[in-house]
Amino acid sequence: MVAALSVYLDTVGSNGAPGTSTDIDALTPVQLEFKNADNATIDGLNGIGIPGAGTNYSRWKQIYVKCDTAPAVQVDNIRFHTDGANNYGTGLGLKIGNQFPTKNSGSSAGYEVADTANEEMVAGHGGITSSVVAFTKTNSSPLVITISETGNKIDAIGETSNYIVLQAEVGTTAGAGLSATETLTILYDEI
Amino acid sequence: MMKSEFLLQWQAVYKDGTRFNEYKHGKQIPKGYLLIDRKKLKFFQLMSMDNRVIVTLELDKGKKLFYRRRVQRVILGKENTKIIYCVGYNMRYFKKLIIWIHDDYSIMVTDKWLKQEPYKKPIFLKQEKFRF
Repeated sequence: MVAALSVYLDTVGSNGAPGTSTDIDALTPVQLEFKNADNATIDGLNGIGIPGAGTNYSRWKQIYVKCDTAPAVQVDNIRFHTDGANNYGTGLGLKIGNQFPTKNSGSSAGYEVADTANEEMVAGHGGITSSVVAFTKTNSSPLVITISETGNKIDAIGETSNYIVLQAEVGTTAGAGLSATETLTILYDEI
Repeated sequence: MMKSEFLLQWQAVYKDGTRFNEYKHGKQIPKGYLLIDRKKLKFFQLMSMDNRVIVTLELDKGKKLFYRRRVQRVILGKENTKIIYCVGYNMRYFKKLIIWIHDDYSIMVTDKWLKQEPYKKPIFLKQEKFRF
């Protein structure tokens, strides 16, 4: 068999110890909903809120790639990119952390529970020191996702990438209601 | 319904005519790619799972084989997963040949890594580093 990888979302619990790990592919519909609540539920509830001034933020999402079926040799070279265009709508944005807090098959040390409303990731997440607009990461300039398993590669069931941290932001010009959806893409190589 | 993934298998053909396949009795050989005897290697082939040869790469002296299965999937859902196989060799003075095989069996040949995904350079294993 060739490798099979899923994308997981960690939520709740405490720093270094997520309470729930959710396979995003198992959600109905298969979506990642940015909201003002730290859960994986797709329900349209807990809206972020449109600020009168400045910017409001969703709870950050900490996702990672996890191996369900082991490759013959290894999986590496994991990258993230978007289509380069923000289709969420006016006043809405998406940031991605430039750092990848530690997550592997033996540790969730980089996990920081998103337990505070309207907390920007660089200010609030101890593992993130800078972020970038996700839509600047395109197929010609993807973000390379690090792996902290032995050898910096995934070669066994249960092994993971480090955390990818995402956060939506809402400005004063945003309209009320559900936004349009966006497509985020990952790539990896296997042997 | 999710479509089945694009799947090829590799086969090493040695100078003495013997062959070493990625699969044995229908099962992928663990670490099989690392077990290829590079000194004896004459051809490296990519084949469909029903054993039709798609590409044969001749590996003369000085040609260093590389091979990757590149997977592109959206984070949300596996339905749109795309697979591209990449096989080729490095030679002296950074010369290289790269063959990209798409899921419609169309083939693209390049002499350098391209700037855009999914045609960027992979990470190479240590034993594949360029040495003369």
